[in-house]
Amino acid sequence: MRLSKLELLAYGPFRGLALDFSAPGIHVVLGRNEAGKSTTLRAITGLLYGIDAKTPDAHVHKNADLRIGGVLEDSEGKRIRVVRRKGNTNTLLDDREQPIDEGVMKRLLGGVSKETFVHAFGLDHDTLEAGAKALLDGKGDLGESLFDASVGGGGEVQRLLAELTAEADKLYKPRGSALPLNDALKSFAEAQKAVREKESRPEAFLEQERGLEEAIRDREARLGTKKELETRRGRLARARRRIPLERRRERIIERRVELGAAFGQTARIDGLKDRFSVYERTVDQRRALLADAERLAQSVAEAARRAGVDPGASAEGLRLDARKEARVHALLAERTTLVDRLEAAGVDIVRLERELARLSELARAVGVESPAEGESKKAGANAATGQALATALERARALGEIEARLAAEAARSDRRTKELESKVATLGLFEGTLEALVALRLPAIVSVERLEARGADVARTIARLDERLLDLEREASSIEKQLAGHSGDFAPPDASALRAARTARDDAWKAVRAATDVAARAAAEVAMEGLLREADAVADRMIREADRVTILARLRSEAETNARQREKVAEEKARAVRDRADLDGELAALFAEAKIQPLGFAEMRQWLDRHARIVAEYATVREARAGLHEEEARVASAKSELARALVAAGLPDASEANKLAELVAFAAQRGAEIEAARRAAEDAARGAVEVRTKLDERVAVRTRDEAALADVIVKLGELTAKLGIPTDATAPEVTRSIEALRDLFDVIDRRADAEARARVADADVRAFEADLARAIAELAPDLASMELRDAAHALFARGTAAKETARELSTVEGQLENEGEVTLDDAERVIVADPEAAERLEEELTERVEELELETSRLTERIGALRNGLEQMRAESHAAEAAATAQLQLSRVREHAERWCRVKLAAVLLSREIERYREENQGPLVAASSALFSRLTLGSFSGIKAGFDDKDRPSLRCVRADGTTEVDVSGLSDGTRDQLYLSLRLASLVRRAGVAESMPLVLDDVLIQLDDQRASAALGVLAEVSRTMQVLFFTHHARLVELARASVPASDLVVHELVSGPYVTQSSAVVAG
Amino acid sequence: MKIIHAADLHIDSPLRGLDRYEGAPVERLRGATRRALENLVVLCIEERADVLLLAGDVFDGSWKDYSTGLFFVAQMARLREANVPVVIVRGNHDAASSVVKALRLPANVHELSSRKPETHELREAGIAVHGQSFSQRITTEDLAARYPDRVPGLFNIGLLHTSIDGREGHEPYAPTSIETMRSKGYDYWALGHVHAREIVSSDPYIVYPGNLQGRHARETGAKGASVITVEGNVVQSVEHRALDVFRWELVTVDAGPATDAQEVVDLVRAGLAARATEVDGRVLAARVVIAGSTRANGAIRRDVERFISEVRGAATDGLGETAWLEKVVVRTRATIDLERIREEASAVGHLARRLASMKEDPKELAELASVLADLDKKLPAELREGEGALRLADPALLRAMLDDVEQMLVPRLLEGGEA
Repeated sequence: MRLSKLELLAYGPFRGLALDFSAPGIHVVLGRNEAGKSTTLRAITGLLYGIDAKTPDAHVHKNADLRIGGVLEDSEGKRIRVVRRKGNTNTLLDDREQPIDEGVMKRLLGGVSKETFVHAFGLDHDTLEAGAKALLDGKGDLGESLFDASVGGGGEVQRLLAELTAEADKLYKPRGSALPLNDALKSFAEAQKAVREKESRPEAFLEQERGLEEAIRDREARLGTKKELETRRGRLARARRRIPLERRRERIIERRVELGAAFGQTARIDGLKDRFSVYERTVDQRRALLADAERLAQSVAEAARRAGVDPGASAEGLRLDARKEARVHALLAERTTLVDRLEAAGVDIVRLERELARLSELARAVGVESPAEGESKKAGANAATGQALATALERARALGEIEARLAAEAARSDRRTKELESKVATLGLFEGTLEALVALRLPAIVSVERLEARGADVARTIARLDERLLDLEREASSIEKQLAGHSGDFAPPDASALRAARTARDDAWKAVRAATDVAARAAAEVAMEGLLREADAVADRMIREADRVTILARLRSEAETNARQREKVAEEKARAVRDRADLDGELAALFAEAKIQPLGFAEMRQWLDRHARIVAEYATVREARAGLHEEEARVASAKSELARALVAAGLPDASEANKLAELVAFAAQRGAEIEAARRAAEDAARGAVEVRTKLDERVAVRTRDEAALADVIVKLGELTAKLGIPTDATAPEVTRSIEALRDLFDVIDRRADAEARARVADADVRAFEADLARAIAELAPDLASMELRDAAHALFARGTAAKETARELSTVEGQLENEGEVTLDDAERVIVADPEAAERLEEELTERVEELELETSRLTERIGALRNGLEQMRAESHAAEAAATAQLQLSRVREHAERWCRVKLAAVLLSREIERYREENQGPLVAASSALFSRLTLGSFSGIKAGFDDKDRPSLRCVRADGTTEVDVSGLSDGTRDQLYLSLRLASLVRRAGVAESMPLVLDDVLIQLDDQRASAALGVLAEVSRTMQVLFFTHHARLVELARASVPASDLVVHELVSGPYVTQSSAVVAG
Repeated sequence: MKIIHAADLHIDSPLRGLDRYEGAPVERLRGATRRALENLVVLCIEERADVLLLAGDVFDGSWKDYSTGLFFVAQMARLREANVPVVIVRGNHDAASSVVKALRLPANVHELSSRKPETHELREAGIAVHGQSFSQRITTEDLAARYPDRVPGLFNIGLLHTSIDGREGHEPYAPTSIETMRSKGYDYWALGHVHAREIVSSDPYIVYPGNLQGRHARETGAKGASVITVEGNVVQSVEHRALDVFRWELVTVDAGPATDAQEVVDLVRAGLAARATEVDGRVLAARVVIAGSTRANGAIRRDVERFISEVRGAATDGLGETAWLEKVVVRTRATIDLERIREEASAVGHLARRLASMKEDPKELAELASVLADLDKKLPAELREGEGALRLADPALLRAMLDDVEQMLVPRLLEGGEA
């Protein structure tokens, strides 16, 4: 397919730009920067394959407006014009913007995909470089290079193959290690093994159960044995311990025998021992007592002397018992007391007698005791007066406060009366006294109020009527005005006038219709217009006049109505006014009796109200005044009573001058004085009586005491005489004598006592000595010859020893019992007897026991472990876990395997394809490339050939101009390598064009690295290629255009220039070579 | 009355196909089948089941670990404590298992005889269970035909491990037919062997409850047991209760709308998230298939490993412990038109034609297989056997691989250095 014409109808900055590529030869399109070279390149692809959804070329035209047109020529030379728009479907259009089937395009494209077109049939500088580099990297691998050149991938083929191979090798190698798949296979195998290892078979479980039972049994057995051994060891130990104890016991028993009888009698000996110290003390006591008795005998003699008794004689008779002694003392005391009392009484009596005399005197003075005639009367009168005074005083006091108050009240009453009188004066409508006013007969306020209300009603009615009247008057004036407005001449046009007007109009119309020429017609039209208007006017007037009549009639009738209404209202108002006047008459009637001229309703109402208030107050004042008079009368009476009483009491009559209060005070004072005097006299009389009584008492007591004293003296004398004490002895003397006697008897008694105690002590001593001698005789006769005391000590010592022995014995026997009985067999007995053997045996046994303990605890551990193991077996399955792990490994294996297979196959198939391509195409391709290469390098290389690299792989080699020197790809300069790649590409394309449907070759500035010479050579080559296939060469550089012109025959060169500008409409300059 | 019917427990049989990667919830994989069994036990206790029926294949035939048996016994003991009787028939796997032979089952578990058909009555519950265990792995006779007559007055159940009439993909085990089963007049047939739940018939009810826990990517969907409610000896309802802890699902993602690899990852993440909510706390074991003609194809194919780990990373990020990507299958295609390319005269076109023709030529395929032969020999037997086996000489597999090769080579050669 050839692109004959490219039309950038609306694309990028272009509008209607057409590029004609139909001419043969190489088409060079010069687009300086920003001129739209890239846009144009995109337009080509867009035309053939559709505009990209995200096109960058819609900056001037809207997406929907983009249009690229083109004329395509198929291999038979048939041309077809198509237009491409941007969209999702139906984007290919014909001339008339109608969608056409994409199949048309597909046919033209001959099955070349967009990717292929872009990559294989498009070449830019970058791809050129990449391709050259790939040649270098691939070390000129022939297959890859050719294949890549064919695909136009810029080295993609080599890269892809390398990646795939690398990935496959990184995953797995048949004899690989540390590679993922290899490792995974190994891990899986290991995991499988682990599963088998961890399987717990039933036998294992049962075995373990059995092992557990066995271990338990073993342990039980060992525990049993251990117990036995321990028992045996215990027995032997006990037996051994018994031996020393038994020996000790024997020795003790020997000692016991020695002690003899004393052994069993330790209690008795102890008793004697205890008593021994007492015995010694008693001996001493006895001695002391005897000495005492001696001494006391002497004291007796002395005491007798002191007491005045004959020492030799028996003084028993003088023994005074306590009772008598006490009696003596008591009597003495009594005597002293009585004497004192009598003295005091005497003093008292004298005093009392004097007091009595005084009080009697006092009472007499006041007239109580022994009244004289006149004085008693005075007193009696005093008493009576006092009484009357008191009574009057009381009454007066009750009324005391009133006096003051009354004055004030009277004043107030007067004030109020005056006020009322002034009110009367200001009331109005009345002349006269307060009393007269009060007595007036007046109407009730209610009546007046009623009249007032009615009056208000009437007033309201009148007001309303007035308003209404005003309205009606306004209405009337308005009607008048309207009437005036509508009056005036009117002459309704009659029907005939109208008819005439209409006829005239119609005639005029006829004239119009009949008019022959324009002027006449115009005039007729004018005339007609006027007549038409007139006719209408007449008709209108008729109508208006008719209206006016109606209106006037209406107005007049309204006026009449209004007048009637006004009359009626006036009537009503007059009525109302009359009513009002009536009311006034009523009011006057009400007040006639009182002879008062009423004013207005409200005023009279208020006047009545004020009148009522005055009346009420007047009544109050009168009442008050009455009360006042009553009180004044009471006060006066009390005053006169009191005055009379005072006079009776001997005071001047002051009732006239004094106020009641003053009188009251005076009377009170006087009364009090009288009362006080009376009371004093009464007290004195009472006092005198009391004193007399006391006096009598005292005297009686004195008499009694005197008698008692005499009695006491007699009794005392009796007692003291017996004791040899003189009767008149003083109390101290008596006491002393008694004491002396007492002392005497005391000493006598003491002596007797000492003697008795000495006797007792003696008896004890003897008794003890007897016991002791007996005990010695019985328990230790061998001591009998000793001194008693010494013997005693010896005996005691024996007793102690016996006790000790007994204790020891009991201890030993206790220990033996603790150990317990041990029955030994003969062999054992022998061993036991030999301490060394016994010890050895014991050690052996202990060792064995310890061994057993160790074994037991080990068994316990084992039992625990076994039990745990069994539990675990029940609880977990290690095998299941291992199996799960194995599965994970297996999945890993699978994943890697699947991946490896695909990658490997891809690598293998690709490389086979590369190889096949090489084989099929190598010859012609290498030959064609060789020729191109030679030309492109201006002959510095004669060509390329297929050689072998050092690994014997087919590889590209370049042959220098001399025809023999071979250089491999790495030995070329960069630029030359570019040209090598370009040769391969071009050769590949040309070959393809010869074989299958071709497409235009679109080159984008591929020659920029070349110097002028080589560039020219390249252009020449391209021009030749353009004979086989269409070549479109796009460039920025004007220089290339020059070079092209220089190196390419004009018939083989067409140059186009894209002109830049905001809105390009002009077609490019078509410069024929 | 409540009956619980389960089958094909395959306790401790490992889940297959899961590849470990960073973030994969490996911990939750432990004891998955055991936990599913525990869930079944809890279900029986909570529902106060009158009986638990186990229709065979409690263990894998080849599994030898006794601990598994002990575990099963312990679980049955729990049911004994809760007074739930259990009736079992042996399936093809049990008949071959060494573990089963040595196991002592607790008192509440009754295993029906393998020598002849047996009826086990549960009088208090009013149930009669008829059945016969497999005596050996391959059982080709119709066991159901000789099952005992129904017991009047009781709810009659037929317990049978069978593939019925040679269902697709299964060898015939104790083959029988629906008519045969109907003819017994039982009220309910409790079957086992087929791992996919199915109600074969509803008059009477003939039910496969499916297995308790899916074991690989082909056993998708909810797995568990069936709860049958019976009143007056008539089945009122047959409900499926999900008891599995690992839920297998196939998640297909259309990469068509995506323009780059990251967008595809996002699509996958969204697809997974949607499925994750459905599995209600279980682990979602997802096989993700990414297909479609997409502009992202080039980027993905460029470095498939990296893409897959990014997908896995996104899954871990978003779903953490609740998802395990069993596999990420990349089946995207480039947006180029392969048909058109195949018609081109270019080298690439030639390559494309070659690849297409290879797929149809058995000799070519065999030649390719020889490239892979070395690895094929080394692959473990476990990969080469059973369902979903990887047999590198299999023409179907090779054709699929060629599709991938096409996608790896052709777009890349055409699109050049586009990323």
